[in-house]
Amino acid sequence: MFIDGILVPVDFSTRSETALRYAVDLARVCCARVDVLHVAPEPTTSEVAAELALDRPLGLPPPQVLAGARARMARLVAATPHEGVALETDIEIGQTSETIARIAAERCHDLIVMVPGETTQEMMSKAPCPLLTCRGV
Amino acid sequence: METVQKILVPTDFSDGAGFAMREALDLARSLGASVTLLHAYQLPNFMLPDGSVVLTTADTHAALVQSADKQLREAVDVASAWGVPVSTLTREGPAAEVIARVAEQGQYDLVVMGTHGRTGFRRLLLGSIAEKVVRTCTRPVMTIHYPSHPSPVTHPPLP
Repeated sequence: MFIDGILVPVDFSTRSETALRYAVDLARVCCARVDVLHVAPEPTTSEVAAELALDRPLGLPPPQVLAGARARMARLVAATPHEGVALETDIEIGQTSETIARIAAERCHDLIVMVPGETTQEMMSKAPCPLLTCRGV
Repeated sequence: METVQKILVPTDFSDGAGFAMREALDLARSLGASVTLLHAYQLPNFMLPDGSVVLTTADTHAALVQSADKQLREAVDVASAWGVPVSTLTREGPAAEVIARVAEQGQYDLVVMGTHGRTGFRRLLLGSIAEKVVRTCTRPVMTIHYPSHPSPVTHPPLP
């Protein structure tokens, strides 16, 4: 197994920090790149109604949701020491586990690192690559 | 996390477990880690409708352990091709609990296991074991599907 690309799905909880720190440490050992992914939920029915009323583009979460996610992503990355590790961030919109699996396949990640949680079981069956779950030590 | 130095690889000797083992050996080689192969088995005790329990005979137990040892030795032979330090463990008990306990007590840095066993019911069984280990084990666990995404790395030929 050659670990070149590691995908870390985050929801900005403290668990996300644990997973990201683990992934960065592993990436340093393996000389891998780390992609941090947040999946924002698709807009709810009422949000779609608001989009229609406000004449905004359809299918996107409210702008404040995306702006909030970008700010939290920046804070998460800033709070994680990652010197010497190539780290990129991405925010996608969609169903969580399906989007994680799609991104991992599209960008040829060799490993997904996450803290066990609600989506873990789904990820175990959908992941196109090995899945590493870790808890805080 | 320091570097990964001790990797625990549970095996039920299925193709899925063998695939996960080879991935684990590959990873161990690149990280300079050692691998411990763990086989958990359960004695086939059962209860009759009247409540009486039929226990495994010493012969059956011995045969089980002997068969496990033989298969573990074969796995070690395969593993030696990687040049990774390999040791083996055999434990009696429910697989998921045994795996989580050994991983924690042995302070393993990583557990690497397959999500699919042989076919049919075994497939379901091993999947549920991996799922349970992920849920209960406090050590990091890597689960690997077989064979939906073969590794691009060419493995050394099997003996």
